[in-house]
Amino acid sequence: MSAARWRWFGMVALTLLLVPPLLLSLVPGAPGAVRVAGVSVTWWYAGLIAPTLATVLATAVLVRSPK
Amino acid sequence: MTALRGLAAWTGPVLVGTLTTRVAAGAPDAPMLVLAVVVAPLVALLQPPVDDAPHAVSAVATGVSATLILAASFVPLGDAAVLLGGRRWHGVVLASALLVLLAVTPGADRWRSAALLIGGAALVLGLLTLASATGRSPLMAWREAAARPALVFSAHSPWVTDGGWFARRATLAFDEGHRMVAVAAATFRVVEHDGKSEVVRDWRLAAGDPLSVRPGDRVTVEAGSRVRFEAGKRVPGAAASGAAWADAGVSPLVGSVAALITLVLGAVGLVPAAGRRGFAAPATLLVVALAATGWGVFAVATAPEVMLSGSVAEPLLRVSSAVPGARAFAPLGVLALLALFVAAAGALRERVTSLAGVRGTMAWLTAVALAAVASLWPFDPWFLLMAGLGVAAATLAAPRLAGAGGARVAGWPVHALGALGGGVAFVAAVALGPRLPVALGVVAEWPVLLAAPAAWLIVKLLR
Repeated sequence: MSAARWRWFGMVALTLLLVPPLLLSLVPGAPGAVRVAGVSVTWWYAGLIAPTLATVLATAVLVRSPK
Repeated sequence: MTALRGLAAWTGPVLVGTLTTRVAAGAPDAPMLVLAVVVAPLVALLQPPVDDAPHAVSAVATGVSATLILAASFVPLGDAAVLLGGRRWHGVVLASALLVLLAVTPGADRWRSAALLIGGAALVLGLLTLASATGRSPLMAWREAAARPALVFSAHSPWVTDGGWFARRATLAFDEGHRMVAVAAATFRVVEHDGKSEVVRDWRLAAGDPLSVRPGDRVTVEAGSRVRFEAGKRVPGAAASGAAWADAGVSPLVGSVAALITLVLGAVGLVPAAGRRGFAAPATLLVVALAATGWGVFAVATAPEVMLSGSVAEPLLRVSSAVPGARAFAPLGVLALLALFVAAAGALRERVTSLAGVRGTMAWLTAVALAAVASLWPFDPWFLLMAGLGVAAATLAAPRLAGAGGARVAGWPVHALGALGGGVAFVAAVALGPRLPVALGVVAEWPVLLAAPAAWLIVKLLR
């Protein structure tokens, strides 16, 4: 895989991380408001899980980028 | 440009302050904003490096975008000067002088990465101080805030003791009766609900005059007004309860998508691609974003009125002061604001000077002067930031993502033609916005939705 294609893969994967909260807001019944350990699912995802995943993913793409 | 130095353009005081303020306010878009603030510049760091030849159109677009973002960055520093007892222009002049000094001092660029790290470290240290002084982790502070039956003024709040200051014009909705006191002479517009009709009254109050409002009333306060509120009463405009704050609600889908497009494409236009050794940048970004979010959580747990002024600087300046045991560390907020400002301005300067050639320093000083003058007005810094990112998205990111390569048409690089088309579409959407049909209102509000696809299409069709 070329370096450019590898980076495009990373960009698309990162962008996809933005989608779940948008979809959650469309689902009836507000599943994003369900509390887990006192914090809503939306906040767990958007405030901690997805940013951490994005950071790990971006670091991996940068470090393992083909020359 | 190293990844960390390029990233500094993103983590300016407006974005960090807005993140803190939106979290503290329980704004519906707060969760998405936290996520987008991290993901957008990471997408930019991963973009394939481009070697488009510099062109006057790209240079002008970069200059306009940088000036708007710099003007946004000046605003919190002007606000901070007022909150610390000075005048707005004191903060703006001091910040401008600092930038001029850094621009004419050889080797000053070395400080940019250090400034970003100092700003981030100040945020983290401030957060640790708040956690230590309150004896609560951010998660515990969150749970405590979410359990509060109402978000009320404490008896020690500056909004109760000395009177708070409104950075921007604001309309406050009151859910309960309240007695406000004008600290300085000002005019207040009160919309009273009288049965099914509304009655509008303008009250001109002298210093010390009270204004009683009833549940359901709305009061418009002009920028610069100083007002005292009653202790124990609900903060107007804040969430109805801790539970309502924690839920954050749902923001409109179209607006969320438009904001995401602006942030992601704006970052691609603003933040340069990172090399293989740019791995420190993502971790730094995550730490800064989570620290800013943590400040917002402690703000609502300890001083929920800090978002009342409309200034994105207030949480960083006032939260530590509201917590006994953390007051000595209140200057950390000022340090964070200033360091992040220096880092962001340095990164913007590098973008401007690299495209302006031998006139780089003059172009940068012109941008600083224009931005400083613009920031003396009580503009909403978020509006200025989104305008700057929108210009970058339409004129820099969209043509780049379309992949013009080295193609030229009639002697013009295709990426420059795309930038020109995107810029014209952006200006047209802004100028014609009020006259557009209601169905196209979203384009008037978010011109990037029209301008970025236009620039992308022009490049695709011409290359």
